[in-house]
Amino acid sequence: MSQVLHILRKDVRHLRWLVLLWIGVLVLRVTLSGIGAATAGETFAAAVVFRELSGLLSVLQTLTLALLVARVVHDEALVGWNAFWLTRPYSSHALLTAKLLFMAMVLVLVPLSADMVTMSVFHAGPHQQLVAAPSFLSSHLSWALALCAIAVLTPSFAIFTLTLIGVFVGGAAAILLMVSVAFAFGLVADPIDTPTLSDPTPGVVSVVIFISSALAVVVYQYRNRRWRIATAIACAGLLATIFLPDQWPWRFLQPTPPDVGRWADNPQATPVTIDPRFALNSSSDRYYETGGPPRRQIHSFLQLVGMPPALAVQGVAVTGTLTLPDGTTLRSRQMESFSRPWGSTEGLLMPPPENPAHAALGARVLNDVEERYEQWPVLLSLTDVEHAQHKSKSGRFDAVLDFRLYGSRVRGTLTIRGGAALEDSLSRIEVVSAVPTADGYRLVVRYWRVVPFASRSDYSSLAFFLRNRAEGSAVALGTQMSWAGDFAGSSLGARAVSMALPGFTYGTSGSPFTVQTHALEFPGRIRGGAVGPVRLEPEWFDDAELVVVETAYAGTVTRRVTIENFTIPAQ
Amino acid sequence: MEPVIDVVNLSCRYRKTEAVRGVSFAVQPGTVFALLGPNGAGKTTTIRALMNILRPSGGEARVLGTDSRRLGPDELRTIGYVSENQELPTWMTVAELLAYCRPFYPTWDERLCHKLIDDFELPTGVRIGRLSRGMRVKAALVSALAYRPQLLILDEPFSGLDPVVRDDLVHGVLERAGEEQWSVLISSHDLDEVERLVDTVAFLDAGRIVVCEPLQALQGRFRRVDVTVANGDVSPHGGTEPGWIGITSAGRVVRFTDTSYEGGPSDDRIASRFPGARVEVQPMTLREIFVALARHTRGQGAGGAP
Repeated sequence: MSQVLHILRKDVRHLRWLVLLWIGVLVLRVTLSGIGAATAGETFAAAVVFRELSGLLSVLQTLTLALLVARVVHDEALVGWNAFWLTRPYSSHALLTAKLLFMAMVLVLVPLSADMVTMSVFHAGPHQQLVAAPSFLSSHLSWALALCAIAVLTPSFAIFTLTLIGVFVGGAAAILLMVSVAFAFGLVADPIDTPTLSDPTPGVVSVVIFISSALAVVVYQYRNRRWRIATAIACAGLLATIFLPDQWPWRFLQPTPPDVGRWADNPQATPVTIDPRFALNSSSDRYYETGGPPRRQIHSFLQLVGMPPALAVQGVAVTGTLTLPDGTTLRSRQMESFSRPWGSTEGLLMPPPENPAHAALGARVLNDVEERYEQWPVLLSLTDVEHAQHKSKSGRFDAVLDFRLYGSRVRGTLTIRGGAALEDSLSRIEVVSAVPTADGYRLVVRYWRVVPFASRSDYSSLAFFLRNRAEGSAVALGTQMSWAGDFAGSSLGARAVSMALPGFTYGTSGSPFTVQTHALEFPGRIRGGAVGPVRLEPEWFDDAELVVVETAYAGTVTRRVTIENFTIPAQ
Repeated sequence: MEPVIDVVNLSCRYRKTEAVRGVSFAVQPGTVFALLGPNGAGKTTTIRALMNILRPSGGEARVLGTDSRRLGPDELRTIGYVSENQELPTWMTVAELLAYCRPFYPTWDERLCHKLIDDFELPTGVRIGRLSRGMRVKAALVSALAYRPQLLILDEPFSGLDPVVRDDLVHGVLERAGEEQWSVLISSHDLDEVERLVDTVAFLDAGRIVVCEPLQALQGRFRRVDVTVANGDVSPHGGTEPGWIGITSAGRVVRFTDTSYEGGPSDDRIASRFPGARVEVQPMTLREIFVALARHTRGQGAGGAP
């Protein structure tokens, strides 16, 4: 132990200025987060400056991390024959322990503390910090160990840097190659997307394999100093990290699909209605997506009867078989649809469906200008050759229809004043400021949430309304400006990728703590067009409250349909 | 007594290049053993294998009774190693380096350390990165001698140093090693300094040991022979003797090295090959022997032991 501490003291002393720089960068990030928290949403310029500074600090943080790892490892280089320590009575165990301790203290615990402080800035309590800690920990550990694994395989900082560049370039080239191969050979497994309820198991398996492999490389190299074998372990670990998680059989974290409700239990009460007027489209999209031949797609307007108004169809996955009188069967499986403005189909007399968010709100939305569309899902997809052979023929069409639904619910209500907050164990929605304008309101709302290590984002989205219960009316708030950031700085991976692949959005994916700030206003502009000329009296706002409506994947309803006289359109 | 270093049929390769081929030698306790040879002969590779820096591809080397492949902290506490290629922590001052090394060695002798610093006139407060090459070697030597190692391994420690510094170091290290009865393995191609201090020499060329024997015996059997013939016939009657190498002639003078000189009998053999000629036989320095052997082995291809 004394040798461990002796080496550790030497490393800390040697790298003290670099460690101070590292801490300085982290302190600056925390400070910037604080300033950002105070100024976000105020002006567009502030948001841009904040974002750019945050990005710059991320790059600086990544570079400092790489430099620190390289320096601490190369102080006792494991590759080469001339290192001072090789002929001195170092215990390899003590050396490894000292290096890992240095990394644990400086490169993992220090940034983790910074993450916790940053979360505190946003009023995240100990519980939320505890929930986010494993993700932050795994992120810091992954990057420190990955860089360490490269450092133990290189003799000097110059070679380390070149190797790092090589790894990024090689990675990008490998992705490009895989995508090209997929395009060239049409290697797309299933044309139907999985529901937007992701399974965190592959992610967790991937992180565990990655950390274990990197650690194995480091430990092996410190114990044996055989860089070729260590490199082979690293390559095997990398391949396992990429390919094994998807093949992992035990989905121990697979989430239970959401229940759409009892209304869907009885297919007779909630059948599918299909408009018998089929239309034919040629699609070249699928050619580009899968590398397969161009398709001709037969689609039709269909509806799931009896669906509650707070639910809507996100997409319909169709697995269909057309059996022709001569025994020919045509099969296809897809989840695509064409949309047309509501009412464009002659004779379609059904009322347009209500926006689920508005339905959940329980009030009439005065400034609803959103257009409604008819959804025409593709029932059968044919190649050009199949279409040429069988056009105008009729047969029996059997299909399984999976209706992917999304639903809206009121997440909560807040009074319209700065400081009002809506908080649960993993998230907080806070009114930063609420400023009355001449004919409405301008609000800055901040929303953060914590994503636990063993779970994934549920892709929910929030919409904000001002609602006057007494009047039974509401107005949608237009988003004037919106931006997001992983303030606590965990997703070095996202940053690294964003640096390596230009155009990749510097984003929040993978961060266990994400913050979004929205500048909202009424009247204003909303996505899809200008708000209609709705004028409200100032008194209306006196009794109004801010309503947060959350929209998310709500489950799948499966129906079987049979169409006895299904005719393939000629044109 | 068991040798402090016992190398048997040692081979080392770098990928496809076999740098050391079946080398065998032994270093006896309390002696100074010189591993000599031109650049690229395999001296450094052999030493790296002895120090467990490089894994041998064949054979065996035992250092202080331990297989070199298992050389660990316990053995390294009793071995001092200085190499021309060794990287020192340049960010440390000399004093910091010595303070850092001290806890690794239970036998660290602070008095000896200070004495060596004084003898070498080392500036302890200066960063190693700012020291001259000579001073760096001195710093490395102090850090390798202050714990009174049983075995001192020096890999070309004096190459590239100016003569004064070299002389300081030779006196400071090898003479002290003799006084303290340390066992020393030194590799070098600068021979003048070590000649009077080494007990045994091994000449390595192209990865093979060409000669390995006590210096006294080596110098005893190597002679430079100048033969001045009277009649201009420089060809020896009946051919050359097997131990004669590097035979050259200029005018009436024939010059060669007799590698198995035995005094009177050898004189008689030379006289019988060159009847009536004037023969001058002179002892050779280690450098001259080294050069003669190097030229001979290059002419013959490596491995031709005279």
